[in-house]
Amino acid sequence: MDVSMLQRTYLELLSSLFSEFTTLQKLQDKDDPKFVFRTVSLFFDNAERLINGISSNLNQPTVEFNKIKELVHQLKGSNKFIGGERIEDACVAFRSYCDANDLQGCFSSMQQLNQEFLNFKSKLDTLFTMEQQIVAAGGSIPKMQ
Amino acid sequence: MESHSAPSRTEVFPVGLRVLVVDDDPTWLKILEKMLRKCSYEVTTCGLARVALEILRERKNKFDIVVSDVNMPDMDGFKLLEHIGLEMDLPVIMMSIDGETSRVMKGVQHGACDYLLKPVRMKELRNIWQHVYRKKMHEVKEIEGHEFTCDDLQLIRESGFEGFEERGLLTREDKKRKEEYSDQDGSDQSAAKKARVVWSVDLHQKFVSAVNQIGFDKVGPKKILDLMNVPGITRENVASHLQKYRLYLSRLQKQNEDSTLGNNRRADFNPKEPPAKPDLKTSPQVQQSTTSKPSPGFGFIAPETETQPIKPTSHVEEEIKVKRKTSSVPPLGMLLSFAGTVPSAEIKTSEPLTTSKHPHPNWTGGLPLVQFMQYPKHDHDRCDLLGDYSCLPKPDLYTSAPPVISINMQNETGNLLDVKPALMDCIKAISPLTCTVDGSTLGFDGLPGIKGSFFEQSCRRAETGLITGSDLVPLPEDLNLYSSLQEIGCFENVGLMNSIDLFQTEVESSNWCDGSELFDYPLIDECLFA
Repeated sequence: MDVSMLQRTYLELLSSLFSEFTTLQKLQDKDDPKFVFRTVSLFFDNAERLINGISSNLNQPTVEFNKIKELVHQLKGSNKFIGGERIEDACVAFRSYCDANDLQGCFSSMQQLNQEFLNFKSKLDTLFTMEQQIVAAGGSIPKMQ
Repeated sequence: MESHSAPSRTEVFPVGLRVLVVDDDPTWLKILEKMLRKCSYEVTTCGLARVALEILRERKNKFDIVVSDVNMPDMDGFKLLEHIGLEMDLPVIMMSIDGETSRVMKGVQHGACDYLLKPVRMKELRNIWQHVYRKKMHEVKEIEGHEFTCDDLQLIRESGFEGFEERGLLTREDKKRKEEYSDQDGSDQSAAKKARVVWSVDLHQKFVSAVNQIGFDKVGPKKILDLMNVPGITRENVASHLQKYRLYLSRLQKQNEDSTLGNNRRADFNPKEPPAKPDLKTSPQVQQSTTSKPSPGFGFIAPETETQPIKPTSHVEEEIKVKRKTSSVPPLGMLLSFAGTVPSAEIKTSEPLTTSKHPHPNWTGGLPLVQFMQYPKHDHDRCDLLGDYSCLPKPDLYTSAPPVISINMQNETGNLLDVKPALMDCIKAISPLTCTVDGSTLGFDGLPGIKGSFFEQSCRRAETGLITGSDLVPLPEDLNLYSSLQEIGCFENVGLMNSIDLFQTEVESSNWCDGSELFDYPLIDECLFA
């Protein structure tokens, strides 16, 4: 694939993410080329833990909405820098379901959250792969301005 | 900074600012660390509040500022904020996703220098050095008010408050003092790192006398530690005790304000006093000249016990009074001396405390007790130290303070949180003033060398009793007072020590005016005439 095309696609993908993500990218430098990757990995690990927690809480005989709400809140916070607006929106919706003690709403929110995370994860995977491809093709990874 | 900076630091503040970041979210921790590093700061990260506190305690003076998230699993971020403010007096910046005004207000109330919203921008982090600088400037100003030399101040300003030793900015005296402190800290820390200090009557006596000697508004844990000259206690011990002490006094103040009945009763006791203790009435150095008044503890104890405990000690009192050189204790200092357990403002040196002329030599606490009774030496209508302050200049400070210190220390755990709300109200009431207190009194540990010398110099000059806004009760520190008091549990150990009992009584009931009198007297009798 043409390097410039790769780079264009890459930038498009990047722009679809949170603007803060580019901030994250700016933090990366040649001393720490894997910074974004590592941070994102951390994010996903943490998110996975939180989502598992939410899930297990939802499946309790007595659902403790406060606990779930807290976890969702943490997830939302974690996501601020990395994730996408869609994840954030899903978190917000989830929280309102928790406030309403709406178990059904929570379940559907949970599903949506899961979905958004998977989407996001695949986006980032693509992003990183593209980075590798660009570099392999001799180009430099474009940065958002 | 001192340990790992090159001898000739060419970097200019705020490069190398030492930041401790506390956040339970590993993602954030990583991002913040990266951002701060990009600002050329030295970053230490921590995922738990308790660990952060440990780090700060162990490596005191190795951090300039703390950045902490509000929501953390093991400890509320606000609580951490208070702890840090009290024990280390470092500027703390709070972070949260939640930018709700009430939360932000809470953060500021608890002493946060700033409240950042996540996602935090790099430019916001880049500016955090301002808080460090501002705090230090404020401290300098405080010292200025206490006759620090212009040269010293100039040095501090020029240096930007960092790397004093390396830059040769410390005077020889400062360095010597710093070494002394370091030595003391080193040995103390190794010996008593985790040991609970039992604040015996004697020890407390020394503490209080040191506090009064320094002058309450200029007091700092290190200075007190130095004056007390007691091996085996650390600055941290003193710091936490000081906080409790202040809180205690504030509470007494509040209680005293509330209970006019108690005052009247004490006033009744006064007539008994004069014959036994003429000096009480006419304490030469008292700022106000009202009728003499025993401390609340004293008021409770002595009158009921026919002033007997007092009589034998009157000569000691005289001695003590005479020895005190500075006459005017800042109202705050008065406010903060434990009622009944604190040497009066007049008592300056600790020697009188240790030389026991008490007729009952087997009661080692005899002298201190006497001292305790002495304390509210002011000629005030109020019977307790705190109450005395209402007569002192700037009464508005105290009268305007809402009854904050009606803190029920009945819970064994001495939960800090219990103390907080009440105290927070007080802080609110005195809000414009309280923020400044942090820098002024406790927490000079950040700059041991400089601060030590500041205090030294400030102590040398006569205290003027000048009350500035910053003299107000340092509230964040107070917050820890009760909780650490409970932790130390010192008072429980000092059964017969009336002053301590009194204090504990204070601690245990908010109506100490009424309750404690009754059972303190027999103890007094026992102690004195055992």
